[in-house]
Order: sequence, then structure tokens, then C-alpha cells
Amino acid sequence: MMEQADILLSSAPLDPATLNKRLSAGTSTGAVATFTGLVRGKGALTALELQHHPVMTLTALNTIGAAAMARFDLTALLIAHRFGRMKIGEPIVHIATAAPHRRAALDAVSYTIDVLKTQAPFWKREWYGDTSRWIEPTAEDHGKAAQWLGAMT
Amino acid sequence: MKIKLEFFGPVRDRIGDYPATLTLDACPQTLDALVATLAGQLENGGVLLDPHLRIAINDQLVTRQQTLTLGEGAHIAVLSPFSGG
Repeated sequence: MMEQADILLSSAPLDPATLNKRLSAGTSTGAVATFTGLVRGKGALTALELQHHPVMTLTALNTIGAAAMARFDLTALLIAHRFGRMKIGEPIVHIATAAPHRRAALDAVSYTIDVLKTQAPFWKREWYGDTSRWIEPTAEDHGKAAQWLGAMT
Repeated sequence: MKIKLEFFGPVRDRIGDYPATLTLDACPQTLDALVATLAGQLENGGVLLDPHLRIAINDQLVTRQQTLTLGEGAHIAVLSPFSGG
């Protein structure tokens, strides 16, 4: 029976090494792939804030996780996403996949992050001291999600 | 009909102060009618005419093709384009 994706939505800092240990990969696993998105330092940036919806965000992550499990031949999938205010260098999102073969593990990581960027209710705001700037999704973000979903979203 | 209203992301800043509860002048049955009603009743309602915004009713995204069934106390969320990851 296919396992469910392991979904974590957290205001506390994410530790990729600890999260990877949560990956419930069995003996049929031949490949593990991971992606970690970090707060990138640039200019006078002091912090990054991620807002989320109290109900819909977790629902969306579960839906994306279930879709990835159904689409790819995986033995396990973990999606961990942070919300709240983060410092430069801290992980924003961590995705880990396990599969019998590498292609499914790698593709499932790409699918999950590409779809998550435009389909999960998160809103990103850069802070420069006391002033802030919202980050809007780019045409490239939409294009990457559309490659997987088959249409512009 | 009274509804609960909430805004997420950049549109929350653009709309400014808004009432958490609003009595709708009409009973819209389509998404476009709902947006037009809200836009007309809120002080900075024009920002709701941005076609990139998404609307959720009781935590479910709604589409332009749907017939809306707004109940008393429905929770309407106006969502800016998502930018996670």
C-alpha cells in the first residue's frame, strides 16, 4: 500500500538533517533526493517573512504531496515548509523523496517545489530593517508549474 | 447577509482597514458578482478588481464558472498570488 506524504508546516526553524531521518523509506528504496530552499542574503535584506493561511495552506500541501505520490513511483515523500519570520541562511522549505530509482526521486522533487510555488497559499515578504517589500510570483514560477500541470495556473 | 472577510498577502496592505464582518448589499451567485459587490462596498475596493487575486469561501477556492451558495456568516478570504517555497 502506498504511504502518505509526510507534511510539516512549522513556525520553528527547519533542520534538513533531522527531517531526512523522518523519511520513511523502506528496503525497496534505491534513491533519495532532497531540495532545500534557503533565505538568500542580498543587499540590505534583514529577514524574510512567510505568511500562510491557517487552513488552506496545510490542505494544499497535503494535496500536492498526494499528487506527487500518485504521479511518481515513490516509496516516501516529505514536504516541510516554514512560516513566520526567518533569518538569512535559514531553510524556508525542505523536500525529500525516496524511490526505487533515481529518476522518480529527482523528478518528484522538481515537481513538488515547482507546483508548491504557485499552488500553496504562502506569501513572501522581504524585510529591510523597518521597511518591507512583497515578493510576487514570477512568470518563470508560473511557467515551471504549468510544465507539470499542463496549463498556465 | 453577513459575511466574514479576510485578506492575505499584498492585497491585505493595499485594502487598508476593512471590517471583519460585512453585510452584503446583494446575494451574489457568481465570483465576478461577489468581487463587484465587495469592491463597491469597501473603501479601497478597487484593488479587488486585480484578476490575479483568488477568492476562497469557507476555505475552498472558488472559480468563475461556479454558482456560489453563500450562507449567513460565510467566511470569504481574498488571496494574493501565492509565492511560497
